[in-house]
Amino acid sequence: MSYVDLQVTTNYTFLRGASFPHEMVAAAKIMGHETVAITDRNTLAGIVKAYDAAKQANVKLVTGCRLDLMSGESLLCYPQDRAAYSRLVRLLTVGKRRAEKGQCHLTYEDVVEYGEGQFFIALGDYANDALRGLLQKLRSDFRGRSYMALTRRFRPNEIQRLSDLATLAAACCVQTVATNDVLYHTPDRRMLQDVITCIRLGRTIDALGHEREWSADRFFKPSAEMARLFKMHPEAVERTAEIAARCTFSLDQLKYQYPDENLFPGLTAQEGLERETWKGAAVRYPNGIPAKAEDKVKHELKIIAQLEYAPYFLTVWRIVQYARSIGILCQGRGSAANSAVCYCLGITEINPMHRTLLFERFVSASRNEPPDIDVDFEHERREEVIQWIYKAYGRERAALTATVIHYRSRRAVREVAKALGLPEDTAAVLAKSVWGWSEAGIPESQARNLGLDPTDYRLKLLLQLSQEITGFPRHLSQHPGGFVITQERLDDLVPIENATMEDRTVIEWDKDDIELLHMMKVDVLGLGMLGCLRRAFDLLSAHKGLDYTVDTLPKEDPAVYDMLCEADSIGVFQVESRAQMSMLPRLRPRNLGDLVIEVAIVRPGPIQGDMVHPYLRRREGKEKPHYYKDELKEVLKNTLGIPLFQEQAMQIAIVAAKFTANEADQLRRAMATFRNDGNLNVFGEKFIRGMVENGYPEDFAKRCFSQIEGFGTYGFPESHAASFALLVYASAYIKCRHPEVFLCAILNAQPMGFYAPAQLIRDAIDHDVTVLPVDINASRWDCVLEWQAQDVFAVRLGFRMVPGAANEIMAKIPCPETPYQNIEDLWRRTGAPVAQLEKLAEADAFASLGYSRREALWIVKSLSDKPLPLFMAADQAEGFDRPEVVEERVTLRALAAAGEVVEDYATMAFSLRAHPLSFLRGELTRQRWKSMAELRRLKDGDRVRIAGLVLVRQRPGTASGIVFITLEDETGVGNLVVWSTIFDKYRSVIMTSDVLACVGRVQREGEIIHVVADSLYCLNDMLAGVSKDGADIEIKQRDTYGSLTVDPSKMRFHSHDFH
Amino acid sequence: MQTGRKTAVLKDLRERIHRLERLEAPTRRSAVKALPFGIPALDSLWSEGGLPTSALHEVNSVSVAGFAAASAFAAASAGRLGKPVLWCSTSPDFYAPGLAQVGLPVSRLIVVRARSEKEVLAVMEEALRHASLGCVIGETPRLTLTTSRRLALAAESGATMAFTLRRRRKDSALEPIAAASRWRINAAPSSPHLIPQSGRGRWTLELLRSRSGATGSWNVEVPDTQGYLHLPSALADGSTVAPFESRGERRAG
Amino acid sequence: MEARLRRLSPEANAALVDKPIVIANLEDQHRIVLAVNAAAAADGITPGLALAHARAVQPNVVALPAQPLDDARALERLAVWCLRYSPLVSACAPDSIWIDATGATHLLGGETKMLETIQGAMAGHGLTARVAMAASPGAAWALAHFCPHAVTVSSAPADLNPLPVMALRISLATGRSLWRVGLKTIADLRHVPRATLPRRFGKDLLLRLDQALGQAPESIEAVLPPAAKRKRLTFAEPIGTADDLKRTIALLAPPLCAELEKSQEGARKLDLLFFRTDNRVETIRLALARPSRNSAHFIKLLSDKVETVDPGFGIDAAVLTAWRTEPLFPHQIDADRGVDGIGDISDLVDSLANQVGARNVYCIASHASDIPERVMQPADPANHPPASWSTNLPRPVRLFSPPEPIEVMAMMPDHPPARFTWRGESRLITHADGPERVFGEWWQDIREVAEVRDYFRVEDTQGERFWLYRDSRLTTENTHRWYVHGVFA
Repeated sequence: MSYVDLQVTTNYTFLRGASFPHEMVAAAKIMGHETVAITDRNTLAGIVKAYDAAKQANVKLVTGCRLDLMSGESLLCYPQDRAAYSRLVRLLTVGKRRAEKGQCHLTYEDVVEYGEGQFFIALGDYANDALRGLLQKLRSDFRGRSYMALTRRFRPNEIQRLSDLATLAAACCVQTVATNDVLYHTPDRRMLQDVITCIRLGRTIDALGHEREWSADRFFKPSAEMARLFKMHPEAVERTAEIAARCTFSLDQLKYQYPDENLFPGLTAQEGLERETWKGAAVRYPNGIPAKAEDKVKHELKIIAQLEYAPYFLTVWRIVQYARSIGILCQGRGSAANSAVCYCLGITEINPMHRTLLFERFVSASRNEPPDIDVDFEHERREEVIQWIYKAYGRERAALTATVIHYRSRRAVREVAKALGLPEDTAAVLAKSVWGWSEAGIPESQARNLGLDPTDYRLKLLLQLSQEITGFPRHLSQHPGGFVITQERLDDLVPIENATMEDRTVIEWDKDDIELLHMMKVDVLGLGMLGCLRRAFDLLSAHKGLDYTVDTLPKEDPAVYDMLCEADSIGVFQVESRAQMSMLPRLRPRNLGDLVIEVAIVRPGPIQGDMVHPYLRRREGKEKPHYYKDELKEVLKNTLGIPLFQEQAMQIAIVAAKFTANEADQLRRAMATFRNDGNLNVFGEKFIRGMVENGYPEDFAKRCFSQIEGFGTYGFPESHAASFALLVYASAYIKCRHPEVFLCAILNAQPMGFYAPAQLIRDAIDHDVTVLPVDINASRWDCVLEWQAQDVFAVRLGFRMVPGAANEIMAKIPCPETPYQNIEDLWRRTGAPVAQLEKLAEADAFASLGYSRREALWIVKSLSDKPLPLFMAADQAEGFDRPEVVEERVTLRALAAAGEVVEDYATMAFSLRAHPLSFLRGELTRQRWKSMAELRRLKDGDRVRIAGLVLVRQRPGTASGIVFITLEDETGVGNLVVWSTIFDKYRSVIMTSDVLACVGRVQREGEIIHVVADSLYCLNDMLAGVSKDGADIEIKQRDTYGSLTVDPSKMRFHSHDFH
Repeated sequence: MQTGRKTAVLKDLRERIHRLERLEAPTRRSAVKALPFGIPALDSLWSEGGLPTSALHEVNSVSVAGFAAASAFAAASAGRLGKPVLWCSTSPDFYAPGLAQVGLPVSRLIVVRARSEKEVLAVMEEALRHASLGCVIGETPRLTLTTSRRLALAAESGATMAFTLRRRRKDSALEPIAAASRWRINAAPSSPHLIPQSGRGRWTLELLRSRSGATGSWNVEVPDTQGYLHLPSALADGSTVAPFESRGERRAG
Repeated sequence: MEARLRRLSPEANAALVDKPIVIANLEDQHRIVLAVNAAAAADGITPGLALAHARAVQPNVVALPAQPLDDARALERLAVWCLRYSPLVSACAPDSIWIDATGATHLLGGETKMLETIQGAMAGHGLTARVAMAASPGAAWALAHFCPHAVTVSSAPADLNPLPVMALRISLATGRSLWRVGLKTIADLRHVPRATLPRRFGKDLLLRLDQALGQAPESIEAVLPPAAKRKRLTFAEPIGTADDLKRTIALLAPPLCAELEKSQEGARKLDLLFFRTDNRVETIRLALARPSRNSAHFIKLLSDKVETVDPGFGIDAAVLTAWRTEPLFPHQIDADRGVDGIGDISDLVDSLANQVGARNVYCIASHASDIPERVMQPADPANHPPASWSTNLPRPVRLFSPPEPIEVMAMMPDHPPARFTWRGESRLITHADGPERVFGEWWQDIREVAEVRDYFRVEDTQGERFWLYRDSRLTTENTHRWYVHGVFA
């Protein structure tokens, strides 16, 4: 009989196991084992991954778990059947719900309570009284289902130790089982295992001492070797297979059931769905439903009935209904969302008649994939929906899915360096040099560039081990909004634990796991733009009497598209980024379909697949669409023969590379899941070979596959793009037709989007919106519209724009019946703390009372937070204001105009007065620095000298070391491109300048102008000069120890930077 | 000032007289006079009821394993004294974890690595005379009558036990030295064991000479973690192990 | 700043000399730059910046942790050194020293000359100093920190007017508040009615202003000279014989010990200097394991080393200095002769160490390692941690270093040998236990990555017990090497 490893700890026992579940399964298979068990500590987090791998490898998986009890005892536990599995899950849930996140508090009594149908193996290395006690308890509670582990440790007196253990077991009438206590799949992982022990214990490897795992022989061995190692205890080896054979449970047996919504008494879910769909259709088509639409709805309903998905659609419908009922704006997206049924149900606003997407493409039996609908809600109100779901379905039936947080390079470097005892600064330097998220590890050349010696042994180890640990799961986190809802108890299927966030419960499995088990998930996501749009609709209704929704906005307004074609899109959903803005004038969208492409094209997939330029050429008519074969024309005709969407890539795999539906499914999963093994490469070869054999050019095949790899980094299907395109149009429409409403709404929805309020305000002013400053007698917390003339509104900035202002304090200020007379009046009437009044003074909010910024601050500083003296309260009762302080009048030196602007920038990051650079213009012109307006008149290739205030410094991870800098002056913004060699040379200038000057070359791409920098200069001193008031003696700040001499005038401008 | 100097002179005088009379300095604790083995057959050889403590003892061996056994014998004895131990050698390759397992707690051990045999003897002598140690162990291949006398004298005056460990050729003759006892230890096969691993190690312990005139040879088990030797459970002559209690009594007395 | 660099080892110092260096301190979870060197300043890094930002500016910046305590101590030492200029000197953390120059200036050729002398002396210490003289400590501080010149002598309070408010030793927060309302210089502040200031900026502001202007007194806390105990003897006739020197020692030690007893101290480091007639100095230097004031002990230790002294043409003076002392109370001297532990045998240790070299007298500390030869570490006998090892791993009493190769007959993969040959002698094994598998410490050396040793405890026909191991790394002949590593008792 062959041996079965019954004690295998994967890296889902975080910082203990040193191999992935799939590696474990594969290694067991290589060793010739037909069966393997996975026993992570107090968790089933890795079990689905192991199950999937076992299924692929045709290995039987014994589902198990190691239970570490609070008393210090440890047991391996294997559910015998489905019922026992549920009990194990329940047991873990009980332990987890009573502990903090990531912990599990279990007692032996709990084990007894849920122990029916489980096999138990007691763990213990020495035949001592503690083990004897445990064995006796197990024997009396579980009789023949209790065992004791025998494990080789390769220590002295091993034969004696094992024989003592066997004797003890016999005395307790418990049988012995050989285990190998596997921690990693191959011996190569030994070093990594030591390192993760260090990380777990917070020690360095030099100080790890005897905490290092005892035996380092913790990998799979062939049955013959196990038989040899246990030749004194052959029965213990044989018993492994016996136990494995008796564990008949497999995750196959989990039967997931959608919640049977039961919303319509007397009707089945399908009947209910049909009724609601037709009801909705009547609303959508008040003039009668067109025959084509009717056919489509009927067709979809038939497929839904066939796949029994009706309850799922009803669940989503119910959630959307609830959100609408309390006034939360929401919109569905995702594969099944863009269907006629969802349109009728009001889940989406995408009229399916306008698209030719096939419903089957999203919901199909052969694709073996549950339907997927994500619903976006207003970001700040999403929690209300989440809590409603918990309440409506109960915590035993609804929980968020987990997200596995993996080691990325940066963290891997930092933690491994610490474990290896390398100086913190070496680690910091290396970690910092990893831009963004990367799985690639740090190459030696990079280390050398950082001034580190790559031949240093510890550094070598760091590079090697940090690369090895990259991709390891580190902990479980909650998915941003993926809900699993079940009909039966969810804690019969999967353990549930508390999330770090209050009032949230999370299952142990991530979205891949639940997808694999065909469990249904509804994504309840937050989207800032929906909050912005809801505010805009409210403002339109209140001030202009226009009642719009996303659905009822005037459609396909040419003015809106004109605006977009000019890349005038600051603040517009999705298309406001620099990359999108440079695409807009080239793509020149004229309808919603174009917007769908616009949203999807600026993504890693099409970019990596080099699909962007061919598409643009064909669109501009410079090149004819070419489909290679007719079979592809069907797939690619909407995108002129160029695959741009994830769905198309999948179709190509099936149609052109001749993947089976199952293979395509695996490909999709490999694509979507982050894995550091070469899984995708296997598909790559097959994909390219398939297409070539099928008569496609190899180059095209390769590009298609690069694109698929790109989707892996950030998948973006057409179904999502379509929903987003609607929001692009909606936000662009409001910006175009009601710019003041747009500004007001987007400022109140901050933080969101790509731009800071300063840029949004400036953009609005450029669009002739009047923006009024924060004012103590006019502002409210939110920004509001102020009527100025018939249909003319100005935006009054709210207290929310004042940095450091507290909502609960500021809420007491607005709109008194009689305006505040002076600062003391305000202070007395609102009781606002002095610190908050200082913020208002610094924001220049008392200007309308006749106080300058400095005067206001001087007065505010004289006030105190102590309660009013009694007599003062009495005075107040009599309507007499006794001044708080009587003191000499002080005349403060007034700030010059430029000084006020600089102060505006320092406190608010923008100024409504003027741009700071306007004060420098004379000097700039003298020094031959050009303005942004002048830049726009230059030709491609012209030399240019340009200067501006630094708004943003960006270093995109994909752009291999290029830095983008956005400069601004009183005439507009301009963009610099700094190549990495130039960046390295001017690094300190770039990073420390508020006013930056650049000598470079103009690069024009249609409407988009970049300046490619050759050299850069810091003009901060010029700025310091204008903001000076009076005859300040310039005293050079010197380097000295301590913060005492830091010049308080050194107030940095706010730029958004990448560090 | 005057009185202070006078008392200092007196103190000095008193100490000199004590030294002349080979008496212990009054400030020193009264040391244990004898160190019992806990095995009656051995302890009864000395009138003091054990190995004399303020004396020099020599342990011989003729093989590497025997030398290890000799080291363990000295370490176990030193460990039982419960006082600091100084070990001097030109190549201190003893292994502290192993010494701890035969009853010498290493926290009480000071090691001196001497650069020559001469220095070993000088260090031993100074350490013995210092009188604050329990035991001084020295490794020296050669020992003459003169040098052994100096050590014996120092051990006596410092009331400190001394061991010299000597590894010699099998056939070399034993020259006379001034030691209170002279031992030879060699490894002996351990008892057959049910499980094929070695059981407790055994020695052949020979007392070649002693001040009391007694000699003998015993088969014993290596010292336990408390530093006590044991007789194997079934000796060839049929006698049995001394019961633990009797050992305890003797220790107390 | 520069003082810190000097504390690093010379090699480290050399490696850092041109690098941008900052000293950073953790404030509110962020590391904030406190000080920068010239290279970092040239890169635009200024104090007050977040370290993360500094790194973005200059990724190669070397960040050293702030050590305010050490800095304060260093400043104190420097202040002591400054006692040469005036008896009243005070250290003002973190970076200043006050010297009360009342009546001291004429000694150094006038005010400016004195300041220049001080600045030059600091440069000799490797320190960049800015020196100012004024009528009050506050004014001197302000000028030294904020005047653009390295050396400033001020005669009138009006000299302070153009200085920024930060020159008043106020908090950064107060400084910012003043700046916001346009009060940027001391002159600005002097124009504002005094009564309006405290309620807005706190009481300290006026006090600091008055102190700077000499209108409020400020007491400074003076440092005292270190009290090193020393005894000196001068000889009418030069001496030279060893006996003379020993007599000298016997004369010097008791009074020194008497003085140590008075202050309840014991010496840890002793220097005995013999001044030769030819202006050279011979030194005997002693380090003691524990503080002591036992003159007999001193005399013995010093006398033992008299042979190392070359008297030349004669010695005309001798000085015995206890230059490092520690508190030592009477009860400590006789106590501690405990049964456990080493007890007070420090004098024996000192004496032996002086004989065979301090390195050759040691205790053994345990080190947690799986590699047998690494579990023992030599430790200082005066101060060694308790040692302990696992008792359930049988270990030999002697360990060979290095392990000695043997020839064996053994079966793979992990069977004990049946026979082995060592030093020409073949032994038949009767009992064996093992393997005990020990894995190399891969982080120490690349050769240990693949190192696995299978240890066996074996007994031969004569009952001799050995610790053998097989190195699992294959040799070029595709075999394994075996070694004997130790012998059991």
